[in-house]
Amino acid sequence: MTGGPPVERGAPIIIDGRALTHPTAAGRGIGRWVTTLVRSLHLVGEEPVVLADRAAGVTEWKRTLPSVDARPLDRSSVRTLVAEASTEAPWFVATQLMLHPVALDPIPVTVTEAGLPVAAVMYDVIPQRYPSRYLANPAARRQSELRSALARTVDLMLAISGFSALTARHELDLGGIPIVDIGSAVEPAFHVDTRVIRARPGDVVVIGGADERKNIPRLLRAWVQVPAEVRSRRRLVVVAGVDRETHLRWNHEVVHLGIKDSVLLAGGVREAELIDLLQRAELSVFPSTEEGFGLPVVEAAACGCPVICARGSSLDQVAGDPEMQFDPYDIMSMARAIESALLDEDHRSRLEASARRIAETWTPQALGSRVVEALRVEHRSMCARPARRPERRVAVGAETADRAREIADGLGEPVHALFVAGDDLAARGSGDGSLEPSLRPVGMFGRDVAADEFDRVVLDERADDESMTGRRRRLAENTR
Amino acid sequence: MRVLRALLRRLTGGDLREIRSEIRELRVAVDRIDGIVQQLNHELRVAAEDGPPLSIGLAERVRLDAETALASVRVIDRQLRRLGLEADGDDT
Repeated sequence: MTGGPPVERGAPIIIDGRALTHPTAAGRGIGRWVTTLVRSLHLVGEEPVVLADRAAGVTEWKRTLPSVDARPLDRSSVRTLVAEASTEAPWFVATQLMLHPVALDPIPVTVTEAGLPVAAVMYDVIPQRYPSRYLANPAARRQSELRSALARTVDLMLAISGFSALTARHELDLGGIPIVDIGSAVEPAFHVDTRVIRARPGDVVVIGGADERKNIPRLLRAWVQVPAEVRSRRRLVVVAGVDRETHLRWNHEVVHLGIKDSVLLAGGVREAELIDLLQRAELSVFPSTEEGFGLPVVEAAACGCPVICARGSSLDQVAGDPEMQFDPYDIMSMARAIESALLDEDHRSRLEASARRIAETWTPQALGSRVVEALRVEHRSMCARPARRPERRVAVGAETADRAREIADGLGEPVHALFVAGDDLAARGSGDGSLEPSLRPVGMFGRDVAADEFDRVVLDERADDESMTGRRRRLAENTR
Repeated sequence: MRVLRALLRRLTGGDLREIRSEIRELRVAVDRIDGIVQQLNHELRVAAEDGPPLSIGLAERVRLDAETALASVRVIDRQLRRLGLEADGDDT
């Protein structure tokens, strides 16, 4: 903590760390945010437990943060954590509630069984705010409605900005669920390197994306309005990992506008390259019309780069200085802001001071302190009821139901589900086409059965290696 | 849930026993639906993998719906479990 009386530590805060190895969130966005959160908690003296996606997820966490207490998200881990927390239930921080596409179990069933208080991280509700753009597909709309219903079952929301808190309450109809603005933080890799000389005139770096709200086409048109003598000695570097179609469209626009010589469509770049760009750039521009937080503003500031950004959404709070903002819908406003930031030395000094203030505001220590304050002080009463040990659940898989039952009878402990091969299931279908409800296909292991659904899965060792049971057995051995 | 918590405090022991029993029955029903929808989802995935290319788009759409149904069941399950915890936690 940065000040005030020391906070009494209770049970460790549990963080859902599966995003780090998630196929779409890993390494960017939510995956990166969760890493920052865990690092932030360490910095303020907490020892959070990260629940990762199986053994591979634990390995990835250890590689990313060697000192982290990472465990697989399974029933045994939750049971151990419940046993360790004797009088006070530990918080579970759900980090995947707003993931796209919707994860099947953003709040794992074991967490609910244990009765753990859940604090969900609220990044943004941009799809819900613009359904015609993001939720045109009926299936996507239905999933979004479901996400809202699930959001209404959490105990606390941790929003990454005041704007995100405000819009989430409205869009998700959160009623009386408390929402705390915890903000966000920049990773320490983004820093000022005094050995690097900031080129003037130099690069004007823009971080964007193909999404319409990132506002890149309008910024290109604003760049045309910057006087030619200013443009001719500089380069507008657009950093945005976009699909080929978008790249071609932007390239066409650049040629059509006659600014090909002063624009570089750099595509996506690695983090080290981005840091290098920001450490050398003359200016960074962030024209996005709506953000949940707006990390690129803070990343540029942390690299000592003067930054200007759009007015509105979370950027008002993140920037905290109207002088560094422009109207993202007004090309002339954007052009004037760019020109002034490049040529007006007094204004530029103030932008540099604002960048230093932003970098000092959105630090991992501050993020960690706000999370601890929310969970350990303001809402500690939600942990008052002791957690419950999730019951032990066992499943058996075999080629036939008879064989599965035979194995189950010999186990010496209650068996909760039997999984059998498809042929045997089909043979057991009743006249109306329905199946015996206690039987499920053994092929579900490895992709449809959640990692925390069973403590122990016994797959028939006698089943042929090439049978469905044998294949699932090999898969289980390989992913253990 | 806060409203429910307040309501539960006003109920008698007999009422609570009945509510707990209802919740248990609902959870059995939800568990059964969960199994059926999981199976449907699994079979649709397998069908999408084995099917000719033209049917993959349709199967993918149906699979998305099955996943939504599955997630719906899980939301109901979470709501019921929380309700159960509230009812069990009341000592009246």
